[in-house]
Amino acid sequence: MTRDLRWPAFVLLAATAFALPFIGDSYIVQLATRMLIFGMAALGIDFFLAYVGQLSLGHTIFLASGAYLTALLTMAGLESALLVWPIVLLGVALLALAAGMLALRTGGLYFIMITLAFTQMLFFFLQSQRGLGGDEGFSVPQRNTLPLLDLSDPRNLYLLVLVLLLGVIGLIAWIRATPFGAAIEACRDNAQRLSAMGLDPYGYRLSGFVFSAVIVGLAGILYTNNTLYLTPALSGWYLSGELLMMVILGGSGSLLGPVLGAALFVLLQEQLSHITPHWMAGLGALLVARVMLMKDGFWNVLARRLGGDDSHS
Amino acid sequence: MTIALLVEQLINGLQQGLMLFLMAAGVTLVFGIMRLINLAHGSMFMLAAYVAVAVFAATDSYLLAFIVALAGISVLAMLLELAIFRPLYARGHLDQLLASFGLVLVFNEIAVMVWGREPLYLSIPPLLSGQVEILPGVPYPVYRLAVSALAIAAGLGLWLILSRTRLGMQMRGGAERREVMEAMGVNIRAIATMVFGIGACLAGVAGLMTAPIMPVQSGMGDPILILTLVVMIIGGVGSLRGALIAALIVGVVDTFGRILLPQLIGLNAGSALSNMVIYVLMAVVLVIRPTGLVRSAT
Amino acid sequence: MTAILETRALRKSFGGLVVTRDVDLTLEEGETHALIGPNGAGKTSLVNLLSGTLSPTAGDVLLAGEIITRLPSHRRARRGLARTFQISTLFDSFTAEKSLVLALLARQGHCYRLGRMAGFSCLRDEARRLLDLVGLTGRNLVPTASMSHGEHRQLELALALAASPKVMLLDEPMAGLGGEETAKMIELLRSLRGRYTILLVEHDMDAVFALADRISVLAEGRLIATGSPADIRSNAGVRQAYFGDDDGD
Repeated sequence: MTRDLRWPAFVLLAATAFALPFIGDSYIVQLATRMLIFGMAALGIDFFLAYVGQLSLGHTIFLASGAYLTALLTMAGLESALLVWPIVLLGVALLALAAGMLALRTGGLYFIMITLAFTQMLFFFLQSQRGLGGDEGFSVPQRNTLPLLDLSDPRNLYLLVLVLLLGVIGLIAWIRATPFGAAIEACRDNAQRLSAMGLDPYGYRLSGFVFSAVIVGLAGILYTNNTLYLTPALSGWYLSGELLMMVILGGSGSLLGPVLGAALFVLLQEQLSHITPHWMAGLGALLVARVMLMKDGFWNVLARRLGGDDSHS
Repeated sequence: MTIALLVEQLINGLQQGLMLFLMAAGVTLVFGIMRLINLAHGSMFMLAAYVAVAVFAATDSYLLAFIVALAGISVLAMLLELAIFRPLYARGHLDQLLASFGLVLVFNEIAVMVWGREPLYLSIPPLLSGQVEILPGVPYPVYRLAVSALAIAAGLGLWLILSRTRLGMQMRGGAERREVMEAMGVNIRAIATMVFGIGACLAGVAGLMTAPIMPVQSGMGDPILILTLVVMIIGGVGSLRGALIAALIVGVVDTFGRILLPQLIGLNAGSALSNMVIYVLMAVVLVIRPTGLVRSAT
Repeated sequence: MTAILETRALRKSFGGLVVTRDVDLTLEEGETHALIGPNGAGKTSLVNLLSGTLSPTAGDVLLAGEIITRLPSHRRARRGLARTFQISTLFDSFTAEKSLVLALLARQGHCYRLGRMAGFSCLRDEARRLLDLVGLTGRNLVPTASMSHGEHRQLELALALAASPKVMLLDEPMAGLGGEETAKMIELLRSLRGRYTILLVEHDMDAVFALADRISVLAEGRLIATGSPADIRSNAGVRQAYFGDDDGD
């Protein structure tokens, strides 16, 4: 076994990410902000996929509700992030609790179909809101405000997103090391054994669902602050598919895989759209190829090399 | 609301229900045998409509357009099964779903490349334009009646295949007792390929039914696919009978929701809600019966 | 002696197929009670009815005198009913120690705790003692997925013991074990005799007669006899129903 190089790789990546706003131009900073926000959303979805062990095509509900709630509160005159963001996260958590209680009564493919239907439901709801511009969407006048940090400067926003992303990574790593996290992973491995031990799998699945939704909701908050423009497509099932694509490009079940997958996806999307208007076909073909030809995402493959044997970073 | 309107909308609703059933039947058959949800099923719906428009434009023959569209889409689906899905049966839901999602992206973009972004229209055959009185004082487009007849014929055809042929017996057996069928020497893999073909053919019929009443454009199959999944959730995943009942309910509820809600609670709120009515219906069914209206045999 | 686990006219049918027919079974506190019967007699179904994995069509299950018929498995487990599974049912991605620490934490009824798992050092010590007890000394940090079948059977038993249960339902703990492993498992179960109330479902007749205080015989879902090993050996009905068309493996 070689030396474990995953930590040095992580530190190197983080250092590069922190240095970026001081060396890159505003285009790069904005692109990178987008990568990190989608990375956070992908991370939230992957928490549910890898640790709770269920596939959801409905997590864009929480991306969209996080984003829309932030926009609506901001437009209603609440500008302070310290006030708006906790309210939005609470709202997303309650929505996730309601959706989870309905959907988690089933499992497997049934669950996947229900979550898909839920996102479509929200999509239609948002699309039919004339006041919010219908299909066209609407623009948000300003970012939320923080004391001491001026978010209207894209570099500051980028750094905030980066710190929050690292915080989420740390939070997931911490949860995994607790009995709560162990119970969640235990019901993925064997729900029957978990209930034979006296623990109700439903509760752990549901709390895992809500936790992952809140992470995606935070990504939604940051999305609104970054783009200042929202459309119902944020709740579309295409985006659900794309977020899962980010997860599997990088690799599921590792903390960096979904983030790096999201970065790669955003980069590819950007580059392909310069080359051809039909870049969607390219992404679709890439997705099929990734599934058919590779057993795991690129980061997981790389991490196994760096770390000797274990895939968990 | 007059009786005439009521009857007309009821038939429209049932017709939409039949179209959804044809879609749901294909997804259900594939699910039953291979435990796989094929998101690209909506692409089959779309491609059939496009091919029919293109062939009709070239040959001016409806018959030829329909035959080429249905045959082409069935062959395409069987090729997809062989090349893409077969290697994925042993994998998890994630890989299967994402591969089929990748196909959706590819097909939608191919449609744009070949036929452009502007919607196309298939004109109604002159023989079927015009209206008839289905009840005294209730005129109804002939074309829509013909479409319903086509859907019912396709449904009956499926029923005949399932109940009267060896292949149908094996398909039903494969859905219930896969190991037993395999032990008896039945070639499940060949059946899976056939099922993809039959499912796509039904989706093709649904696409052809819709082509003259809806603009043919890239991505047109995707909302239909999600409606189809809602139908399956309400009916009980894996059950054809449940899919039929749920499809008719969803078709009628959706149609009446679009007409009644704006009248009842005002245009804005009504049209907002009418898109969501069937999802609310789905949520209610989930609360009362989490596994759908009809319990599946599998 | 008092009855700790009881069934009253317990019945389970799937459509027309009756797998459990009006079973009245009583487990006395502290006894090792073997449940035998030919393949398809409904032994595992009965265990599943007792543990709550299946819910009965009719009849009742009582634990320490209280009706638990409608309780889901996890609530029964919390009341002191532990079980092992015929087919090993474990957390594949966990180490043996992590599985056991989780099982020990579960005794408190929930695991909504946010301390570090590794911080529960007294539970880790207890987990290791349990591993020593079932013969998995030194295997605490091996992932479950890379353990042998025999080790899985031992871990199953350790997980049941971790609950400090009132009653243990052991569904064929010797299933698939080799001769030497079986002998070790019998020795292990013998050491538990009297300390726990055990319902032992087993095919291995040597094991049954070596371990059981009492034996119940199930045939076609019906309880046809209950008695001491000597009674069962000499019971003509049992011989016919069981040993008659089955050589007792």
